[in-house]
Amino acid sequence: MRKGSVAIVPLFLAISLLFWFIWFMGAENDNLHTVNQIANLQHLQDRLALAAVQKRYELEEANPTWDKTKVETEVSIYIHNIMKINQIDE
Amino acid sequence: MRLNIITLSLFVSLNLYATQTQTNVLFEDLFTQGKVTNEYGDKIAYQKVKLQTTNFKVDNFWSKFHVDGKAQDNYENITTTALVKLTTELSFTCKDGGLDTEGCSGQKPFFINVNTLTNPDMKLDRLGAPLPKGEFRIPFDKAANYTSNRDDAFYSLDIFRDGEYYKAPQTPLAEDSPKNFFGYIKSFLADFFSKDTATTYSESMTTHEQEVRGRYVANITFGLQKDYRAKRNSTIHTNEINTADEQKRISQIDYAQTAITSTTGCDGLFLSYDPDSIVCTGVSFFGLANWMPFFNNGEETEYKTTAVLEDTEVTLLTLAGKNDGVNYIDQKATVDTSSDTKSFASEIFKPVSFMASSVLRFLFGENSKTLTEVVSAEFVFSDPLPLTFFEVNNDNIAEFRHFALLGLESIYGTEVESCKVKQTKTFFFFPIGWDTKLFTKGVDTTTKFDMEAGFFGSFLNNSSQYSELNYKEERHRRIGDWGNHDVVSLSTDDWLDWCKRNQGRQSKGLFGRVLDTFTSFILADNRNLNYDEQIDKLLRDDDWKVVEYKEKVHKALILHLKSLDLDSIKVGTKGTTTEFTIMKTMRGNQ
Repeated sequence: MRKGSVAIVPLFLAISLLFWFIWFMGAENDNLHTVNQIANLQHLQDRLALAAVQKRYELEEANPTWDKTKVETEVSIYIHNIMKINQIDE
Repeated sequence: MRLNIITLSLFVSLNLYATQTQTNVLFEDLFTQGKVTNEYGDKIAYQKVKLQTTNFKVDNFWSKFHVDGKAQDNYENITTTALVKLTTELSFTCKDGGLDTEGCSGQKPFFINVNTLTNPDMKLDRLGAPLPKGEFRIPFDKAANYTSNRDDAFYSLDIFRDGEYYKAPQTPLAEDSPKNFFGYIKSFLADFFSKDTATTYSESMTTHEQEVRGRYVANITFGLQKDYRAKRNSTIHTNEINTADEQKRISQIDYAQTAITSTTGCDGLFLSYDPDSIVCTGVSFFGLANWMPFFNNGEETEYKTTAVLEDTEVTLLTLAGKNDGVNYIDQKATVDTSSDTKSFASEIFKPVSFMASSVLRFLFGENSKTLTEVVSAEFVFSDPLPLTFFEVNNDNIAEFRHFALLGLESIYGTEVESCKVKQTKTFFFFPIGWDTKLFTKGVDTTTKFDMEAGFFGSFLNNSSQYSELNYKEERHRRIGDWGNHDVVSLSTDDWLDWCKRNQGRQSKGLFGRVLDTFTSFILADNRNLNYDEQIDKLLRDDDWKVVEYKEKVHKALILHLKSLDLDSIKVGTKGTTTEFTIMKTMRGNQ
């Protein structure tokens, strides 16, 4: 038992360290977390840039009477919907 | 109270709206920078696009365990700006043809010499009047006529394609999903022209020529295969024919020119590229009934045409029809129910009054004067098909020229060969024998007609009926028939012209002739007949009939093109394909 009570010291330290880590993450590590999310978003934006351009010319071809603003709005709606599916836009 | 509720709800909704995550797209204007075309002549433009996500929210899980932790971060503006390169080529129908994009491009297998577009003869319309600026009418010419300084025609090229992009597969494919070129062109033809189309190869074609032909038609339809496109400043072997290979060798093209075999009957127009191939007895109908190649029209006539010109015309006509959604053949053709033959409506079948020298060269060789009749069928396309030609300077591709195909004109020139005529001799209405004569173009003859022959000859004679013809008085002495007689002389050309007009026409018969003579004599029909009418009357009265009439009909093709400057080639224009490539992206966030 005495030998066992000595063994609890590193265990206690380890548990303390875990709690400290959780506390530390709560304040500091949000940065790491959000950097990841933004990188993901921007990666998605990269991929959608081409789709947006293609959609623009598709729409212009199908609707020659639309002006630039109208086309832009329609493309925005199209991309917005894709963003919704990807759980980015609300 | 109510106002407060409205204000409150407005505030709440604005607030909600303001914090919603939303992605917007913003385009800058299309712009060009540096080179406006790539090495293949395709148009290059750039487009900047900005994707902007506002109020991007990130929930922080760990923040719950620390007093300073924020539950949610809100990023107001996260953007990506991409520079997209748009490469637009004048290519058409890759998707529809069941080919992947590697099989299609904007370049077509046609070339012109470097001075062609500045040649004033190419800027004239069919009547010789100047065309609007930027428009050209350029005739097709065959490889054999090519020299490096010809500036009045376009020529065709043999450029390699991989087998899979034009050859028929081993197993037949379903009718409704053509996966190969010939399935495609066959379905085109079936849709647009006839359900009974059959693509045939002439027996006279070698396997190599069949391959050359297959890739030529495929190259016109889809444009060159991507891998075998020509770069600016590359070489064309203009002194070679059909030598294209995997090493991107480009040569001129030509293949068997047996155009048509006619088995029975001679209705319709006869295309002959081989001067001796057409012998037609009693041609009765000069129409465009069955001039389409690939066609088997019933059992009567079998047409096989494998000429480069014919393939060029039909392919372009088919493509334009596909592009416009119009059948350019049927629309212009009318069906004559009495004889069940098809002929072209007269309004597109016009005499030609002006022709570039290259058309004549193509029709009849450099110095030919045997042209007797030239007519043309003109097609105007409502939605011009874009085409890219090579402009060649001393066997080098100097530039790529972009055109819109406004229309095309098929020209048919007739060359008379010979005519055999027959006269039935009668004695008191009984046939007692025949007289036949053969007139051959270029062999001069003189046939004399005594207008006052016979017992009542001078009494019945009416000189106004041959006043236009070549006649003179000749001294004539026979018992009971003294005095001077008018004698009319007809030349070979008079006879041949008459044959042309009267081929296959039923002669009036004895009764008709008697009635004619009676009418003109008794009623003193002295109206002025023109030269042709006087010959018609003279020979009809003498009971001459056409037995055999031989003529060759040659064909030429003129493309009516409009030069497209790069500004007018827009993304999404019908008949163009655009490739989008991201050149670079720029990121920004706040």
